[in-house]
Amino acid sequence: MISLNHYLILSAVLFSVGALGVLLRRNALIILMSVELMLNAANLAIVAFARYPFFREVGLAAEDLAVAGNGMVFVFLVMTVAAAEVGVGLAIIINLYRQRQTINIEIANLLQG
Amino acid sequence: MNLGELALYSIVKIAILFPLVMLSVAYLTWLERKLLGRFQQRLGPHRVGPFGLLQPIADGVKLFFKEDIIPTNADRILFILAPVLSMACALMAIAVIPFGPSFQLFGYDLGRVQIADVNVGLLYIFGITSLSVYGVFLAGWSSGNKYSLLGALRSSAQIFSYELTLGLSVIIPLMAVGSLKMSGIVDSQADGFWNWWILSPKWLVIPGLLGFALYLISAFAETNRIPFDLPEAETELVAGYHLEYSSMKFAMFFMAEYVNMITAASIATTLFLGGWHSPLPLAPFTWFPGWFWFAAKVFVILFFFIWVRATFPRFRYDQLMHFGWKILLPLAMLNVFLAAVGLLLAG
Amino acid sequence: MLSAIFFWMFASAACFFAFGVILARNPMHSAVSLVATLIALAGLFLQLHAEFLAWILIIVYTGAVMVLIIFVISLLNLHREEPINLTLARRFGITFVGIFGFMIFVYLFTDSLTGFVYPKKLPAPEEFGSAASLAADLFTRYLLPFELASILLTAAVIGAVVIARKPCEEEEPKE
Repeated sequence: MISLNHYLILSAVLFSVGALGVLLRRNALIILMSVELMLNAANLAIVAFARYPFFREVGLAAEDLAVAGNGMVFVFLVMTVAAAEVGVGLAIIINLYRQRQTINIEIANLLQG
Repeated sequence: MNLGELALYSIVKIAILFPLVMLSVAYLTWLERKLLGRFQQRLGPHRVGPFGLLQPIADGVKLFFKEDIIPTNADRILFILAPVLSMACALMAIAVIPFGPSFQLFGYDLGRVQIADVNVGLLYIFGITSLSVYGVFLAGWSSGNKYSLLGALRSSAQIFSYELTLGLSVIIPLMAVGSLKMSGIVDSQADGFWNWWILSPKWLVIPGLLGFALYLISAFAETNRIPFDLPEAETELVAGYHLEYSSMKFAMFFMAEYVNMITAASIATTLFLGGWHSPLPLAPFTWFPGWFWFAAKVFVILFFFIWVRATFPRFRYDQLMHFGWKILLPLAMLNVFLAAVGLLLAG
Repeated sequence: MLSAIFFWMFASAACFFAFGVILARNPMHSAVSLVATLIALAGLFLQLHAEFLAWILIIVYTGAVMVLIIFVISLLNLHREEPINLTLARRFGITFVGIFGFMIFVYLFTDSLTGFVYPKKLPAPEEFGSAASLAADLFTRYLLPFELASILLTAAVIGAVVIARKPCEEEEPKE
């Protein structure tokens, strides 16, 4: 039987993979995509918690599952933030490419003096 | 109905609908060539079989036996994935379209002629359509050819821009019915054409008509048809994204385009033209079965698609973007507002 | 039973393609892997009875966000691979992430072994995860976050246009 833990473990694995991607790769686009991966791992955890709420702890009855389900609203907000982030992030990457003809973030070190 | 029965019924419905759709695709190509011929004062295909009726089969056989070429510059995995993706997405969208009312087969009641009545049917369709961009885009990118890449870039920007209008244009049926289920939307349009959402809400016809027009225009863009066929503009990009494809891979793009046309027409029928309901609840009209009305309405829209192809020239790229973002999108937003006000007034 | 099969199918696909995202040499392959990961995640959302969110995930992420990313990838024509340069700080970070992930894994895994009663999946009511129930929450109780999100999006659109716009050409001196 699939339990909450299964989803949480999967979410943790995806999040760690995304974090590894941010640390390992130097390509700004792939870093952006890894961040998206991390955000979606968080989304998975949110939806899983909405589906398997802690009834006993919060004192909810089974028919109140819809109340717990409103945690899903946060997934919307996460998606909005992610979309905004990608829009601005890609604009910055395009500008970086215009200036340096590469999007390796090691090269983007003008402010390091 | 238990799970096993549901699965069995779905398989039966797929077994009926899939060959029907493929057959309509084949004869849609015939119809298009025939009609284009007539529009241009010539005969169209007429050599193979009576009225050229066997032409699609001949074409299929020809494409099947052509050599399959993968260019050296191509990215092999994505090059092979792209046509499969196109075709799969085109066919998947058909799953939620209600083609007709409940029917019986060998004494068993199989329910509607609809493979799956998903709760969020309309979103399902938009999701699948948005995936079909990848087929076109990956094809253009993986070919390793600059014309293909240009076609892919154009097509992604175009589909991206017009999807917004497409999404906003179907809002009237959604607001009025309060459901994303395709069956619910069809059921709300029974008993005569004055209940169809194209003439909605109630006596204020404008939001419905405008929504329908916006839907059709953006459907042209989504299916890469003239006047929005910039991704494959023959005169400038040779053939755009499928330039490097040959044999069955090319045939899959070709078929996917026609399946997409049929899907777009079916969705327009379902959302705005009352689906399989007859236009008048009177005797001579109710004699015909539901699927007849559905097919008739889809045919009218497809005829319009072909008619437009024979009539209009292609847009220039900047005109396309200008039209999409500065005219259609504000109109669509205005229409949402009008529809909301109209629904309030109509009660 | 059926749900377990679907879970393992989608979960393994999500993991596989997630590694594809960070390990692929070609940015385009990374992007396609991410699309596949997102589709697998949408499948898991469906398993969790979040139908509406699953399709929104596909429409918003794969249909809009990823198309934008792929668009930029092919616009920039990136075929050269960057050398992986591991500085000390980065090695430290990677080790930290590894330990962190492993700890979460061990915690959750032993937790389920020791028999802590985790919430059981109950039969979901019809409206759970439907568009109507989500909208009811979004437009009443969470109206403020919703409006703030719309302001954020507007700001992001304007910001993106301003940043990505070609720098204005110097005006020709009039003769």
